[in-house]
Formats: sequence, C-alpha cells, structure tokens
Amino acid sequence: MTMEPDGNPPQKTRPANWGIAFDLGIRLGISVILGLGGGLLLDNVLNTSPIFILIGMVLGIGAAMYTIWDVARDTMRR
Amino acid sequence: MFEAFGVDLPKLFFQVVNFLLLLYLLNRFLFKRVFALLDERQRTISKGLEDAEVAARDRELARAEREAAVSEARKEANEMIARANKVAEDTRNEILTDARAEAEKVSARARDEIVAEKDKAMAELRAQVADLALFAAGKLVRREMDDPTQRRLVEEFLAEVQPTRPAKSSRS
Amino acid sequence: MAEEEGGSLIHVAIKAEKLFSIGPFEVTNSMVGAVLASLLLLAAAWYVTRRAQTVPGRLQSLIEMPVEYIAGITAASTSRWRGYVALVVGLFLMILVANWLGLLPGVGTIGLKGEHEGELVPFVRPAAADLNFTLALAFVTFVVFVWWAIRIHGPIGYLKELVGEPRYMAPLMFPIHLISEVSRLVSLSMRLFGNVFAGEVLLATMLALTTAVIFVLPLAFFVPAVFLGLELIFGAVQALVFALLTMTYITMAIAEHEGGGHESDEEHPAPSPA
Repeated sequence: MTMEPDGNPPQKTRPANWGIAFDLGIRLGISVILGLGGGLLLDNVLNTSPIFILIGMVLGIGAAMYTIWDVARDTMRR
Repeated sequence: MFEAFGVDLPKLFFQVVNFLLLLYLLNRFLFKRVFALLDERQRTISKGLEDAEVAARDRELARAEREAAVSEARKEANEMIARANKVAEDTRNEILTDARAEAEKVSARARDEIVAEKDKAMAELRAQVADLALFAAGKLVRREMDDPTQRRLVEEFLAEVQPTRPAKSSRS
Repeated sequence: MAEEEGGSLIHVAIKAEKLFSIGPFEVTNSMVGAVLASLLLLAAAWYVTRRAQTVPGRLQSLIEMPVEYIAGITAASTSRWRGYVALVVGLFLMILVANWLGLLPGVGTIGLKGEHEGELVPFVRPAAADLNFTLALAFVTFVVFVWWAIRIHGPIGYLKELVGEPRYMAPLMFPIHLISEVSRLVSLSMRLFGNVFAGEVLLATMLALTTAVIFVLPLAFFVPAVFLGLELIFGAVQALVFALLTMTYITMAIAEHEGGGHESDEEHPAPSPA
C-alpha cells in the first residue's frame, strides 16, 4: 500500500487496491453479522433477551462504519 | 452456526498444521532457491546489460578514434597535395619567367645584330650609291665631277636623305 | 433429501463428509483434498528445485511465473517484504492448486457409498469448499497480521490502538475495533469458501440439469465445459484475492508506523470525508 521512499513503481500495487475494494463490501456485512451474533450469544448465556442483541447490532453497524473509514484512510494514505 | 458448516477444532487444527507444514517445506525447498534464482537471474541480466553497455561504449570509442585517424590522414594528404601544387606552381612560374627572359634576351640580341648588320649594309650601300651617283652624274654631265667640292655636295645630299631610311627599315 | 433422483444428482454437502476415523479423529474428504494439493505442490517444488537452471525451461518457468508475479507485487509493498513474502506466495499457490484440483474429473464423482440414504461420499473434496480449510488459512493470516502489528507497535501500543484515542470512548470503540479486526478473518475465509462452494454447486447443478433431460443431452458435454472454464478463472482469481489481501493487511500493519513524517502530513485529507 504505502510507497516506500526507496520503493518500486506505484502501478505494482494496483492489484492489491482492487482487492481492498473487493473485500470492503463483504467486511461491512460481516461486521454487522458479528455484532448481532455476539449479542445473541451473550443474550443466550446471560438470559437477557433483547438487550445485548440490540447493543451488538449497534456495535456491528458502528464497526461497519469504522471499517469504511479505516479502509478509506489506509487507501488515501498513499 | 459453526456446526452447520462442519467446523470443529480438530479439523481446523489439522488444516492449520497442514498448511504450516506445507509453508515450511515450500519455504525451505522452493522459495529460498527460487528467490535466490530470481536474484541471480536479475544479476545476470543486469550484468549482461552492463557488459553490452561497456561493449557499446568501447565500440563507440574505437569508431571515434578511427574517424579521428581518418580525418587526420585526410587533412595531412590535403596539406601535402596543396604543398605539392604550390611547389609545382612556383616551379612553373619560375620556368616560365626564365624562359620568357631568355627569349627576350635572345630576341634582343637578334635585333641588335640585325640592326648592326643593317647599319653596315647601309653604310656600304651608301658608299656605293655615292660612287654610283657620282659616276652617273659624271656620265650625265659628261664632265668629270671628281673635284672634292662636288663630291662633298653629293655626300651632303645623301646625308640629308639618310635619316628617313633607318626609320623606314626599323618599321619594316 | 426427499427427492429420488434429481435431488441426489444436485446434492453437494455444505460440510466436508467423513470418510473414516482414526480413533476419535475424523478424516474428511476435504482433508484428503488439502493433503493432495500439498503433495502436488511439494512435487512441483521438488521438480523445480531438482533441475533448477538459471535460464528456465518451459515447465520450470510455468511454475515459477506465479511465484515471481506474486513475489514482485509483494516486493513492491514495503521494505520488509522478505518477512512475509513466503506466506503470501504460499497462500496463493495452496489455494490455486486446491481450487484447480477440484476441477479435475473424478474428484467429485468417485467415492464411497455414505452411511445415510445411499449418498455418494467423494474421496476428494476441493479443500476450499470446506470452511475448516479457509478458516485455517485466514487464521494463519490473521495471526501473522496481528503479530506484525504487535511487532511494529509493541503489545501495549497495539492494545492502545484497539482502545482508541479518547480514552473515555473505550467501551464503545474497543468492541468496534475488535469486530472490525475479526471481520477481516471472517471475510477472507467466508469469501473463499462461498465462492468455491458455490462453484461446486453450480457445476453439479449444470451437470444435473443437462443430463436430467434426455433431449438436451448434447448440452451435457458443452455447458459444464463452459462453467469448468469459468471455475478455472474464478479459482485463480480467488487465490490471487486471498493472497493480495493478506499482503495488504500486513502491509497496512507495517506501513502505519513506517513512513513516520511523510505520512503525518498526508493524514490530513483522510479525516475530512469522514
């Protein structure tokens, strides 16, 4: 991603860039699913039915948004 | 959720171990040599390029040298030719002037001789003409005209005539 | 499966099936696939190194070409590329061979009669059609990625990175960071699994559809061949994506602290769109 001072021509990293784009969409969905799944698991263990799944959903969506920002930042750093 | 996909720890562990083992073996036997080979090939290629560059530079140098030598030789030859031309020209001019002078001299001498010859002939002629005139006049007058006064008169006359003659002869 | 014939033709199990067990340890057909792919790779490696020449022959250059290509891309990423190039190239080769192995004739069709309902259990299953395999690869990648992050930031620095900048936001940001990190792992493994599994299902479906109806039988030779060709490309693309994403993750973990000054002044355009 980031070019080295002693680095190589920039076009060599291009395949990696579309790899990131490929990856981003899936990571968004997975972030939400992970949040929901974690919340569901905690609810089942602790018997606090709707609380943690709601928190998990919020965290999952937050994580999705954070992921977008993270990837955008990393991509723009070049 | 994981059970639905048939994921369990031993299988997962087996796959991890399998992959790590493969990675280790590949790294040990393939990658190191391949990377070394890549490096070596890179070196060979760059060395070949370098050699070619050196050879090209040498060739260029030799060519320049050859060209310089040729042009030097050409210049020298040109100089030599120019010098030879100049010498020839000088010689020719010298010979010409010499010949001209010689011819001049010869012709001058010839002219002098001719003039002298002519003068001599003139003098002789004049003497004879005077004798002849006296003789003819004597015959005409039937008297002797040998007294010095008459002879002097005739000579005076001829002397008066004389100046026109050389001018006429020199012109011819 | 309630269907009689059609159902059994299209059937592709979502989990790897058990072939036999050694003690408590079950041996599945995807394990056979993975081991077979590994052995094939090792054989190729042995072939290449046995008669390695500086000026390669045709087969040697065919095998070296992907290694060179991936190594070239990786070498352009960071100055520490030597530390992870083996992982990236190894992932690519392993996934590529495992995927293409699944396309060989007989791989999905020769097998045992299963325990229930007389289903055919193939001896070899493409390794990436088993979540265990893809999860294992993603897990190795994840561990290496975190290891590099810890190596660059230090263990405490990495934890601080996870907690986030305003310390009072930690209860919110820590799970978010955690989910975001883990999503890489799940994304890598799920995508590979999904693609290869879907490819298997697609091939089986196409074969079943064209062989089920007798008067389109000529299509049975033609249509699956087209999809086999497509799967060949998809297999390579998935291997490339997995390897390059691995490289990108590791590169990001390294690059965050490597450039130092020249990154801080390029940090400015990043927060403005956020």
